[in-house]
Amino acid sequence: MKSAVAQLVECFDRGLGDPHDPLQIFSFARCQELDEREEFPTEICQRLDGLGLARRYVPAALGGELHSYEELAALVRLVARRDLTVAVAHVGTFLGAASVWLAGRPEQAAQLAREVEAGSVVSLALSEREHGSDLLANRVRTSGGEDWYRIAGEKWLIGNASRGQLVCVLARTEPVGGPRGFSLLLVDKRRLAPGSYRCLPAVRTVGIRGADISGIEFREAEVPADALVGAAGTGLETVLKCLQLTRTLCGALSLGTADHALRLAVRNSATGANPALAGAYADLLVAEAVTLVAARAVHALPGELSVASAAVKAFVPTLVEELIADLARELGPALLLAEPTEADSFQKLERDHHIMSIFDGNTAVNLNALVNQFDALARGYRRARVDQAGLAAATTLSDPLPAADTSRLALFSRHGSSLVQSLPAALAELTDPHFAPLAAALAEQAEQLHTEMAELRPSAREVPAMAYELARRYTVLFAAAGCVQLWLHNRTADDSPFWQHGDWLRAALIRLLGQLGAGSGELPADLVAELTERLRHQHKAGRLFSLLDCQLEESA
Amino acid sequence: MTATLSRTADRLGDPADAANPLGFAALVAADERGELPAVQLGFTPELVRALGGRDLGLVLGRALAPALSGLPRPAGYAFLREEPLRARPVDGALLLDGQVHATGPGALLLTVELAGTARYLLLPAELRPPAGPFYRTPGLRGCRPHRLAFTGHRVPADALLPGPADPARAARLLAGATLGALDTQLRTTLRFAEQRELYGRPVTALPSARAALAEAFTDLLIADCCLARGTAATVEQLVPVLVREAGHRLALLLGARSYLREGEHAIFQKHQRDLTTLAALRGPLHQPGARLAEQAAQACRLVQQQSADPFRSAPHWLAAALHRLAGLGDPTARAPHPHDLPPNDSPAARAERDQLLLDELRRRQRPATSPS
Ligand SMILES: Cc1cc2nc3c(=O)[nH]c(=O)nc-3n(C[C@H](O)[C@H](O)[C@H](O)COP(=O)(O)OP(=O)(O)OC[C@H]3O[C@@H](n4cnc5c(N)ncnc54)[C@H](O)[C@@H]3O)c2cc1C
Repeated sequence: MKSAVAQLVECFDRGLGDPHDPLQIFSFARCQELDEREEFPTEICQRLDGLGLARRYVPAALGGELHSYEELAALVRLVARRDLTVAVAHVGTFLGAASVWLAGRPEQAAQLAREVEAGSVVSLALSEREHGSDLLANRVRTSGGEDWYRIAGEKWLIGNASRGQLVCVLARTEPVGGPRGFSLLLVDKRRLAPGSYRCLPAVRTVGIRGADISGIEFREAEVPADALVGAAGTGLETVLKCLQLTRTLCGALSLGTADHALRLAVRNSATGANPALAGAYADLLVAEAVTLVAARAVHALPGELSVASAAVKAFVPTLVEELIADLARELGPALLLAEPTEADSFQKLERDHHIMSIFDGNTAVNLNALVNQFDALARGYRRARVDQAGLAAATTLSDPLPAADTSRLALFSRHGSSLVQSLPAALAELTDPHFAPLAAALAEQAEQLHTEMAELRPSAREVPAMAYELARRYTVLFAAAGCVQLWLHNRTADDSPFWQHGDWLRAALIRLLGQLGAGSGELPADLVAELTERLRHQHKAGRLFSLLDCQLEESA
Repeated sequence: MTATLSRTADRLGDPADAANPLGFAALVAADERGELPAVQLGFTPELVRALGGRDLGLVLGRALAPALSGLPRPAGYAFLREEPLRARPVDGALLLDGQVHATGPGALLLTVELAGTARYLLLPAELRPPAGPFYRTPGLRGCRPHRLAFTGHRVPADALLPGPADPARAARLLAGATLGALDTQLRTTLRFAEQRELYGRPVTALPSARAALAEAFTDLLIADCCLARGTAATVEQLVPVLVREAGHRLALLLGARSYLREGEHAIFQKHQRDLTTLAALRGPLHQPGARLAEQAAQACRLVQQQSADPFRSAPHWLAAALHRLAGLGDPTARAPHPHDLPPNDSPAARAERDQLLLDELRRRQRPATSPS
């Protein structure tokens, strides 16, 4: 089965050329060299601009080519599977601009759209040296006059803070702070008075070494009042909604890294069925399924994105981190001890990927976001509340998506998660005998988890440690629900046994039950053989490792 | 025992002293340059663990070989690459065949198989075959791990050291060094968590952060017991898993600081990269099963029963350790021996255990002015 976005992806990858060919700009060899020199991938980013990636960050309504988050996620994955450093460096502009798409004035958004299309780099500056996840504690502040703001203070560990032309800054506009005390300002560095700001030196990082991770210090930097993004005092709300979009896309960044890891593992392993490879492949397919459904949910279930985005950001990077560690452990030295003759190395992607559970809301913060919604999630589950139309749209790949309506994003999902709340009914449809024990085990897990979630009464201040474990299990359940619905809604569109018999779903559920502690997670021999074979076949044929068919521009 | 340990650690100087060549700042800087710190020390077995807390590269590239063999001079260490390295006697000399992963630039301690027994052999620097490719490793950059291939490579017979090689002892010393590294990671993270404020309180006020610290500390304690009273299998197979998982948990807690090669927490990521590299050099590892977990549990029980130390002889850490090991063995059977586990594993009981473990951690964190 081809997904609707396959054509776009194939065309884009053709434009990038074979990554194994060292003469291509975006080759593995080039990325390796840049990493060793800790050099920014300028030429590669230009190439991506040339192929129109930046235009894909600009909503269609503003004249750009962001038609769907499914497309954007697919492109981000495609870049990340070549190199995560490049992906993080380039996609940063979407992160910086998204708040303006959500809340900016129409002229402001239109102007930023033109900037982004022309290749300007935009960054998002939330973090401060002494304040990480606790945005309410941020100190960067403004003083204001009739038609200007002056910004003072330092933002630190900011992607593209030095290279970027524009930076979207979260600042305290009310001295006392508080949920309504912060605003977003879109600062054009080119228009600041000289000396009123300073870019901080690049920070040396473990991975993504070539990326520009630095900071910016404002010294009473004056910006016009119309730099404000949305109304004064709405900064936090806008940022939290913006992060719902970017956290969903983080699934694609991690997924691309999983592609990369698995490709190196296949190249460095002996032929024949291989449980380690099969397990990693099954995990990758799970990560793909949940990322795909969440990206479509931006359009189809926007009011529930506070759940989906947190689940994806907590689940996918953690899963991929384990996938990388498993491959390193099982395949050992062959992967981590790269010789300089190899153009591409596992140790680099391993270092690079650690960032995924740290930035854009670390894993604990995302689990916490789920804990904060346990009430609604438990209630929605008991009442089996499901937005059927939204669910079908999110999971039926052949259905065109409605345009994304970001005004429907909400900080809390009032009705919980249609995906998870439809799981009991969906499992009841898995009547085939080879599914029955898995479906029963999963149904039991879902019941038990929701009972425990309902019993938990955390105060906002004192979230017990076990609440995070419940939230972790919830993310696993969310992924399982994504897989089950994806299969149910698309199985007839593909006549391979992989889809028809639901072999991939069986593998996915076995792996996920393992993560819930309700099974060993080990795949039976028939699935090991089938998955390894399909994996090797996709590799040999230069296809994306995927549930779907997607031809890449890649020699084996 | 604490007194001896702190005295050996004293020989390494204050880790926070920027002028100390074995201080964290100098070690991180040397690593950035891809060099081993230049220090003159006698490398005794007692020193290996403390040294691991500073620089695993120094352990592998210089200290492990003399500590193992009793040789008076530093030398590098070599790991087998799948097959053993074979030695054949030929008219007064030895011919070596096989491949190793070597660390360090100079003389090298090799474990060779000679007439069915494992022996140590000290390969002088000038008799090294040409170094194979240097690996692009994430860590241990100072000792520049590389492949070394021997094909009928001739060395004088007196390069062979007397007595059999002792791989179990090597594994134990190496495991001790990794615990030194984990100990430093734990201290670094604890310091961060106590100093950083979030939501108006130190990070250590978050129950989940306390749990993460307590879990990492529990892993360190279990690993310690494996070294003290455990089987060789627990040392070789379980300890590396505990070290890896504890390091991972601590990295999450340290957040962005675990990703920075500069600043006051930079030693953390250096250890993390070194540990990853060391694991790769040692070769594939399998997830430990219930049998190993039970052996480790037994070691923990022995330590608890026989210790005179007020903390070690108390039941709390043992309860934490047994729960941890129950989860490690077989995820489908979370509690292998119900009678071994304290009946109460309620969140409240766990929170109390976390608190007690954290108290002990804090006590250890304080500079030891007088040996306790
Ligand atoms: C390479 C890199 C690039 C970055 N790029 C950007 C960027 O472009 N823009 C930007 O604004 N920032 C950026 N950051 C900053 C990043 O988002 C920070 O990591 C983030 O602000 C969190 O800060 P912290 O990691 O220091 O951890 P803190 O938030 O200080 O947290 C410390 C510890 O407390 C835990 N914790 C925090 N909150 C909770 C909670 N609610 N419940 C339980 N535990 C909790 C965390 O898990 C962590 O273990 C970047 C960081 C890096 C390393």
